[in-house]
Amino acid sequence: MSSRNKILADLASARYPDVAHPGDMVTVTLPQNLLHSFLEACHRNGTDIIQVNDRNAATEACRSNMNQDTGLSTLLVESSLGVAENGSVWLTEEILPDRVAPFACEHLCVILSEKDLVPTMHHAYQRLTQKIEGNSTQPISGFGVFIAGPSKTADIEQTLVTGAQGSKKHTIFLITSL
Amino acid sequence: MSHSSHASSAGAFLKDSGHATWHDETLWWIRSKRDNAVRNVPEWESLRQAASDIKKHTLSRLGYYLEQFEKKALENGIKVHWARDAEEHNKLIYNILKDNKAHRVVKSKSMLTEECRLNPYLEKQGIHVTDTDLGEYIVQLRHEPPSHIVLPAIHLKKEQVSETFQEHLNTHPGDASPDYLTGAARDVLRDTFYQADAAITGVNFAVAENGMLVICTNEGNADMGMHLSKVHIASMGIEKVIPGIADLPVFLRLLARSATGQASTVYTSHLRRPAPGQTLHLILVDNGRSAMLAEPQFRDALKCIRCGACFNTCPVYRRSGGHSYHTTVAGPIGSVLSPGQNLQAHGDLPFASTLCGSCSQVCPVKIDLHGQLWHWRQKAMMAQGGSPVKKAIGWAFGALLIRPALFRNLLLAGGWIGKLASLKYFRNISAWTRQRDLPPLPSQRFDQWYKQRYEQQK
Repeated sequence: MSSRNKILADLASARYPDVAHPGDMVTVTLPQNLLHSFLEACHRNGTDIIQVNDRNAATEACRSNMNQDTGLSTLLVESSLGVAENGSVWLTEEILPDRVAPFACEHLCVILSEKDLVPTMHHAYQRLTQKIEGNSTQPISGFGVFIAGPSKTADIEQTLVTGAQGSKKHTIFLITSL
Repeated sequence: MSHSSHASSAGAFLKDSGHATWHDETLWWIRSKRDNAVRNVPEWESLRQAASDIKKHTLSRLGYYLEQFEKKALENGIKVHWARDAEEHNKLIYNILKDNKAHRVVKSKSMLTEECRLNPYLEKQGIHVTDTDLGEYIVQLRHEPPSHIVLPAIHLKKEQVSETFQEHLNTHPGDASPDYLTGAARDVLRDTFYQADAAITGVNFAVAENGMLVICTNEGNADMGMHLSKVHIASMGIEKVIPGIADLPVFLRLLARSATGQASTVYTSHLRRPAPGQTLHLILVDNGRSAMLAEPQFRDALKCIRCGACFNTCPVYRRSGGHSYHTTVAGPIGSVLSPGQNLQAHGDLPFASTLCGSCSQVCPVKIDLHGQLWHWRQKAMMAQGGSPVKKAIGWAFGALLIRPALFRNLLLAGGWIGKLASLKYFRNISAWTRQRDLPPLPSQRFDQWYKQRYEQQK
């Protein structure tokens, strides 16, 4: 008997009593102010936020930022989704030069519109799997990642160090409706 | 039994009382970070209940969801393998590496691969695996096992890390700052990633609905590994599958807050397909999980999402350290999982507890950890009988409690027992009695006192 069939047979014979899926039972608390909530979460993550008027301003700001920084390899991408409760942005391989880019670069810069902010991860996944004409879409084709700040570790005596193995710096250029 | 009992290892750990106190305070501080994060989520208890129910539902038809996951994963181009036990898991990985002529392998955190003792197995076949999570990298260089499933090097001070890095990375002896040491490891590991020909990762969640893997890290090491290698092998316990995409946020909102007090890990990576030119292998591992599923008293331990919150709160873990547990996964969850794998070897672990229940309070998926510890104690006592001291105490109490008159008379003697117990000889019997005073014992038994009052009130 193959391992697969053996395992499936063992699982079937375990006779775990039937339990229904609880469904959508969590009543999510929405933040009073979505933007403030996102900014606070970003601050906690060590993410720098620069508020801009439009996409061009964002690119300009990124360019001048790069000139100030001493030679950090920089990646600039645009995200279509940000999550307020944890200050994360969603990136997929379609908008990346390759999958390793947002991790390998030293400074990750992300353009995000305020209108693309959602309160929680529940809302985020709902957005990503929105039903279009009755068909639910896949959240990703091949690869996607929520990134919440620069890489970090506290593995040495619980001291927070920014710039573990991924990026050392993380900046969001937030297009706000001002 | 080739290892020392938890009690004796803990005794050794506690001899360095400064270090033990530091370890205790550090873990408690991590627990308090969790509390701060939880305070910001008013629906926290509702999330815990949802997570528990989703896991129970999944476990109630685990075979169905695994088959669904496999079907979707195969459609996505992921190669799916099944391993009954650790040996089969290790062999499978070795064969994949051999077929791909992979010699330089990087691995991100996977407690399952620790459980299966993958690294030593591959070393014997001449394949060196570099553990890339900073904490695991440090303990690997020191030839030690990790002492915590989320914070592998929590038992080490920075001076100890500095010594290890001086030896292996030629770091400067004068600088033991975490910034400097982390930077040194980053540079070495970047080289390692770029030269690796295979990457092994764990899996946090496998979504049956669309055959997708979710991997969470703070460092980004899993991604640096898997996106730079032609071969990506993901190892996963069969209990890690969840039904649908809509279930992900329930667990993701609980995981990092419970583990470290962060609202989320820095990176939450979702994989549905291998990258062009890459092969992605997924290994589904049983290794005792289907047997545990068949045990009504212990099956719910399979809900575990490996957050480590139970470790951080446990007063015994905090004051004995992960290495006292002589098992892959320490802490309360380890003490509930390991006896199932080997009661003979790990039967002492359910006793490494005060049954305070703090673990059950913080568990994001509501495993009744302290209840299961208690059940394991029954099993261990019945299988092994307990120490001679325990047997003697049990016998003495048994003999006493079935003799009510004797019991009542002995209680009367409580006064002079109290005086005896305060004598230096008896106080020094154990650390417990050395640090505690017996409370003053009343001169009357309760039934005498009650009868006297009742008579007075008549």
